[in-house]
Amino acid sequence: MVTLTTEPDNESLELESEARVGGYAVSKRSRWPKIIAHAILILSVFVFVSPFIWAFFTSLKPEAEIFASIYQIIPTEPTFENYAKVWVEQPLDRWVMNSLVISTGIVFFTLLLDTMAGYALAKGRFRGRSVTFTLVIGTLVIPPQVVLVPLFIEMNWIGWGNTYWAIMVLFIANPFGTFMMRQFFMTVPDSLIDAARMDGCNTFQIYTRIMLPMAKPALASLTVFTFIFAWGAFLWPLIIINDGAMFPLQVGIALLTGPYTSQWGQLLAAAIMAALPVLTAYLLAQKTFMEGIALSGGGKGQ
Amino acid sequence: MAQPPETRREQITDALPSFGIADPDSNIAWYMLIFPKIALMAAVLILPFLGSVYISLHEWAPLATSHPFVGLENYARLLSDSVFHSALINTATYSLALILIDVPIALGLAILLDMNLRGTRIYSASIFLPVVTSWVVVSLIWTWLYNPDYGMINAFLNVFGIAGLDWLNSRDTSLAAIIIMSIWKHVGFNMVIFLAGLKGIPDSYYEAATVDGAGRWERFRYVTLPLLKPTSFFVIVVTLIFSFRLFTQVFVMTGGGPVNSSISIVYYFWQQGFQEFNMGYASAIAVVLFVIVFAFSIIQQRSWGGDVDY
Repeated sequence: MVTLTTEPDNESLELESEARVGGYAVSKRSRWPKIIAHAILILSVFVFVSPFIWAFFTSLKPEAEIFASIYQIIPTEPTFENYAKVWVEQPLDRWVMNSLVISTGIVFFTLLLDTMAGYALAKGRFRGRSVTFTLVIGTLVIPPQVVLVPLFIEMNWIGWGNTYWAIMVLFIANPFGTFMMRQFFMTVPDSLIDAARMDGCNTFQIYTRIMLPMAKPALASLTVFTFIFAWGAFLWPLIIINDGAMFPLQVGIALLTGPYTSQWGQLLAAAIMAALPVLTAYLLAQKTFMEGIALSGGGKGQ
Repeated sequence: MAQPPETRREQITDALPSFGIADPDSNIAWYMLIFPKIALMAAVLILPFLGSVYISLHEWAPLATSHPFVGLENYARLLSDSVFHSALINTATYSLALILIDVPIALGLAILLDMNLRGTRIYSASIFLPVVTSWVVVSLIWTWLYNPDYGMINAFLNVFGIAGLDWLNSRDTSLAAIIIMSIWKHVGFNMVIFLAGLKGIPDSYYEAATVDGAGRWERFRYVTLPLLKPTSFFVIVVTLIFSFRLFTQVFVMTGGGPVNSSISIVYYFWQQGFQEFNMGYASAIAVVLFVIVFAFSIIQQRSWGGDVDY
């Protein structure tokens, strides 16, 4: 996991060696592969980006223009009336707020509980540690979908139906972050902890003063990864929430497809508004996002 | 890969005496640190998991006063339920298509991005864009793209003189439409993991191969591919596991139809459990899903084997 922090060096090294190798080994022929690569990548950019652009253009068209000609891609008179209409008619602001509260809560508690548990599993010396770790690994293989029927019954039984908490607990309980943080804390040298103990730090002080500050890169990854999943959560909120005012954004707009079957301008306007918060964050911190996925998704494989 | 020295270090520290610097309350402190997570896991995942197995052996309507025990009857019903068979076949098809199409494209794109061409940041950012967008949003956008009369895909096909399809409304194409859109959404995820794997291959290997006279293709065939094996295996298994959770796209785009042609295991589970309120039957579906995913996970654990040191 630490390898990624040294990546810039690797990259620059690689650039140099590429140039050198290209310099004397295959001088003239080496241009074509690059041109082909650029061509494929430019085509890919078109394939991956154009649906968003097209959806955005459609959302700017008045209802009549959408169904006028499919070859008029760029709106002749762009207007935000679809956005205004759907915003007024549907409680989008409420849904955005629900999603923000839920996602932030999930990220906060995931970071807190997973760093605590990961630290204990990596550095703790206590009876039952290996059993606990086996339990964490074992729980990793349970697909969350499998527990939904009993969890639904349980949540309603304790009176948490239609609450933020009910949505959040399923994601906070996910053992993946614990596993990831444990793997990270394993890389912290024991000598550091021993030194802190000699200076009189107790277990909790080591957690707050040494472990947490050291874990910043891993925490950034876990934050991004958890936030994307929490923001996109769908099946469980769909099941446990039946009060429209408590819907997270994803459930809210997915259920608009019923009443808005043919009002594509408004539907796409709602979809674009739903995508904006995460897209903005992504465009601002693209590197953190991609590293977050690489570390969290691929870290286990390395 | 970096595990063996770590394991060794742990064994060494385990064997060393603790020098008497451990504070007296340390054991309790460790339990306090780990308790919240374990308690939550037990309440939300482990107990409900056992609950699923229990409920699957009963006829379970949520508001009924009694839940009669029916043994394995729910499972027996699954065997002869043609809708469940469709769900199973559709999900497996979806899964296989992702492995055969998504994974190779992701690898190809990762290799192109690893060439460090000018503009790589823009290329990778664009390909990754769908990954950070939610499934619901992407499904809505693609439902519009697939619109038979006004959608961009048919318009595009028409330009080339190909007749448009009735994508989501036809039994022949509904699942294919979901597969195409899901590959588009998911390929950037695998690409980034492959890219991390490629960056992990030391340059000295390539230099050595070049010195030995290996060309581009030989370097790829004899250096990149073999060293990328663990990453590829990981990507395949994770893609398998995630693909069996297929739900959101089906919910938004087709509702499982037409005539169950795009129904998935999780969609059928949701329908049975939370539309029809046959919770016993839904739990049996959930347990079958678990068994399938568990089998994949076993393969995955085997593959990293030594990586997970207990």
